Amino acid sequence: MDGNSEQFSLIYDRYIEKIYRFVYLKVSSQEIAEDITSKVFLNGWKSYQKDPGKVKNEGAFLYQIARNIVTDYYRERGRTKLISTDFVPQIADTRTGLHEKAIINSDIDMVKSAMQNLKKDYQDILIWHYLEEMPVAEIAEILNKPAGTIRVMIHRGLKALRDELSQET
Amino acid sequence: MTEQELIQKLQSLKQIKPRENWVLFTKNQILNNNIQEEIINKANYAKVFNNVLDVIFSRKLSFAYSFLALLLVLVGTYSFLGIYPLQKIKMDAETELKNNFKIMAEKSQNLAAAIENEPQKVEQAIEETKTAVKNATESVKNATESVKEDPSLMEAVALETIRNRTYLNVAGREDLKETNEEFYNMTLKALFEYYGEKTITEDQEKELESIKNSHEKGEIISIVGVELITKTFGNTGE
Repeated sequence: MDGNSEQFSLIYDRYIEKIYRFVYLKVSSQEIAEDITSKVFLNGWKSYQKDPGKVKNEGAFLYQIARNIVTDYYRERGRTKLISTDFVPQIADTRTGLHEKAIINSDIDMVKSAMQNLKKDYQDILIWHYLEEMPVAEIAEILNKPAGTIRVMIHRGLKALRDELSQET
Repeated sequence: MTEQELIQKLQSLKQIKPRENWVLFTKNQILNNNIQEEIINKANYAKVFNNVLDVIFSRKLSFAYSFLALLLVLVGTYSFLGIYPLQKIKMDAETELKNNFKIMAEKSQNLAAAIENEPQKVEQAIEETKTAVKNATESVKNATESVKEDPSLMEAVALETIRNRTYLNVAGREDLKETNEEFYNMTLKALFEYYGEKTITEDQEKELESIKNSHEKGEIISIVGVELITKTFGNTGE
């Protein structure tokens, strides 16, 4: 492995879970999420090889590719929501009680489906900020918007999510 | 629902994780793609060189002789300086070794994936893994034999063993016992030799000695020895 491969291998290890989760929450299918995530890293690797110095923020770089590929995917599918047989995600759950698992899974399913009804930008911002603990400034950089706007969007996104969840229960 | 409860619900989505096998497999595929492209590029260079020769030799005979003479002078000078053969041999052996380890890792992953999802492909995957392990064993053997001419090959063995340790464990099946045993015996021998010659810390030296003694006494088998060595030296970037 040369220097670039080594570096990209580290980036891959650092971001694979995050990018997969980000994509999965948008497409709700393990198979499609795997396919899109592979494309994200393959495209990322091709760009990285050409000019590694150009990639200043690895997270922003990969999330941007992921956003574009997911957009293309929905454009091709005519924004049809695909629910495949493997709809239920692979959950890393250390608890053993079946009852506990059922509660957790139903909670996850509920939040997941509520998230899918939100506007695309709200989805992205909530995932980045609350799931991946990305600071407001970094989100602002990815979306090319002022930090103040992002704060407002986080607030509105949470409100929209709360409304969705209350409709579901 | 309070904001805190809402955030907690949102954070429960962190439990969504990709399949471990898929993560390993995809990484390997993406980085392997690079190697395939390198091979294609090399093939293209060769094609260009052949085309140049075709053009030259299809023209005037005297021009062809002049070109041939110039080529011989250049090759002779290069060989005399001892740059080309040494570099080439070193590069070829090292690339082959790395590729063999990479293929072995890939085949081991395929086998693990077949066991999990496609039982009908297990037999074929075992055969492919066996061939890959045999090729890797051969590379380690070559590196051990040519250690005097090129010690860097042994370094490559150590690095590749550490880098691929996850996959090496995947290959630890009963069907592959015999093939794997030979690989681990050869690799352990190479690692003992490499780290025995290398400057290492006092702690590492003690650990290496203890692994060596345990192996000689038959207290641990080779696969365990390799695992212990990769653990001892794996975190130091060696």
